[in-house]
Amino acid sequence: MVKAELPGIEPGDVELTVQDKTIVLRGERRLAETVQNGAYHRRERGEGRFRRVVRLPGPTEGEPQARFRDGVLTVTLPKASEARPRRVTVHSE
Amino acid sequence: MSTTDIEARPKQKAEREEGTRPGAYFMPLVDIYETPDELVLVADMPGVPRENVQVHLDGDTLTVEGRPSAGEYEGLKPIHVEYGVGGFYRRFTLGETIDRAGIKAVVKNGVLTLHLPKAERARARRIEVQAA
Repeated sequence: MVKAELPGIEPGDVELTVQDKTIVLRGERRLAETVQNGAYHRRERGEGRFRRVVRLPGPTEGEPQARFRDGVLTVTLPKASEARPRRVTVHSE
Repeated sequence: MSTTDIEARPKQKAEREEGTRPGAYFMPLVDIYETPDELVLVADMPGVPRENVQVHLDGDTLTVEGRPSAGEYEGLKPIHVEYGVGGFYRRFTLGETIDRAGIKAVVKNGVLTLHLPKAERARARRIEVQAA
């Protein structure tokens, strides 16, 4: 599972690519309001395009799920069967 | 143009008095602008739902606070951590008198937008100079 804080970004402005053990997250943050009739006292929030590459610790398989809630993106990737721990039954002889 | 205009910045811990709830607090990044009629404060509070945002105006002190939804990070075993998880807290001293009844707050996609209309007497007025 990968979580990213993306406040103020519309889900449609995020592009997510999953390939092997790599997730590429790119998008753009557009700040809706541009002030015409006023002046800024503080301007700390960034604007523009971003791109992040995240390496996953193991292989995944199947369909990744992406959910966006309150400015936090959550990507859930099912682990590939070879990366899952397997329980081995011990037989007595 | 490069493909990256904005880089992730580490969150700054918020300075605040000891709360009754445990957990870390961070300073939300804000934009504040002023128009002739109002002050507008926009604060990034990712993970905070609308019902967990609190805004207090006490005299000229404005306090903005938000808690992320419970369970969002619960039970997760982190492999790699880049950002701290916790609430947001920040306090401002306003230089304007605000019309409290007209304050409007909107939360969308983890961003709080606060409209603080100036009280009538604080608005700039143009005074005609009469000839004697």
